[in-house]
Amino acid sequence: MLAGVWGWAGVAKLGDPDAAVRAVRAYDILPETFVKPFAWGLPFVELALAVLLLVGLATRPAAWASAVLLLVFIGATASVWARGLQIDCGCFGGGGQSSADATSYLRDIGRDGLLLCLALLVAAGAPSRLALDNLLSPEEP
Amino acid sequence: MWWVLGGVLVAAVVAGFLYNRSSSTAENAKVVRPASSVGPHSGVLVGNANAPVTITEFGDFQCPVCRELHQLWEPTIEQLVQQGKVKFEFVGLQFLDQGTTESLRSAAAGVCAADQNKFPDLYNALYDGQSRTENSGFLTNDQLLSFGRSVGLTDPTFANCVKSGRYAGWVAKNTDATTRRGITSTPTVLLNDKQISNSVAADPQRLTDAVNQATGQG
Repeated sequence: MLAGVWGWAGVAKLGDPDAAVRAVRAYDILPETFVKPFAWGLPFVELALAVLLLVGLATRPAAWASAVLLLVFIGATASVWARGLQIDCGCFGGGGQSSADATSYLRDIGRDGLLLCLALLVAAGAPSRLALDNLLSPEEP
Repeated sequence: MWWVLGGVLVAAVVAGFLYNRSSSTAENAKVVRPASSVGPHSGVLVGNANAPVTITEFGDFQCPVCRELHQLWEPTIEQLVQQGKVKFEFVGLQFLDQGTTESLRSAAAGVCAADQNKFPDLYNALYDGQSRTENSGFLTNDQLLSFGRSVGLTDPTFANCVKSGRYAGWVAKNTDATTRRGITSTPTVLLNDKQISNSVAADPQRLTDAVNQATGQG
């Protein structure tokens, strides 16, 4: 499921790089130097995490990285909410200005919180039998 | 396994940056600077260039709140411009496009109309005829030309300007520059370069008072 969400989020952001930059700027958190690298690198990072989690390669590190990324998203959403900014999260493409209210910020934070729990479960659990991790470092019999 | 993750993520950031930079309109589009965009924020100017007060609207022709503001303040703006107190600047932006180019092309069409000294007419037509749904596919080039014809823009120069996307690169660059200076929502209204709230802008009396205050008559 986590792989599916990352894949969806990554693909949705691919079509409009200028909208991605506007969405990141709207958060008003990153210095300008980092806006474009973050906006343009993020969709590929999300896709990479989706592929790693799906094929079971570096599963635990990918799950930890997912958890860190989700914490960043939760923190950023809470920050714009606290500052009274009205933006769309841009989580699945688009983003920037909107008439977002407390409910939509709570919904975004709640969704990311659930995904964070999932990521932590994956990070704590053993890789599945089909995971590529088993090929690279098979368990001793 | 951490090295696998590290390598993949670094490669993803580099690949993502290069891929998106190559497909960004703001980075790659040919920028034609319009002779008609002479406002302090590179927008189209309406009214006497020597008017003491400049009211700047950062707008998007797909933005419903911009349309609402337009309907509320248009008579006041027109009156203030006619009185010579105000010059009105419109900076058309591409804020609401999501994988589409309706905001981009309509803003660019506005600049095409300005080249033909018909900007206020097309500006009014685009807001008044705005679709209820953003990014619905309503603002095709044919629809933009139809808006143009409705205000007397029948010159082939206008049609060529719209169809060729002559000012698309200009609008994309302007949008990028605008968000970089911290303007991230439309409509944003400046009065002599200072932001005023949309509620002041939409109230004829408060807007007139703000202009009179700026001219020292308040």
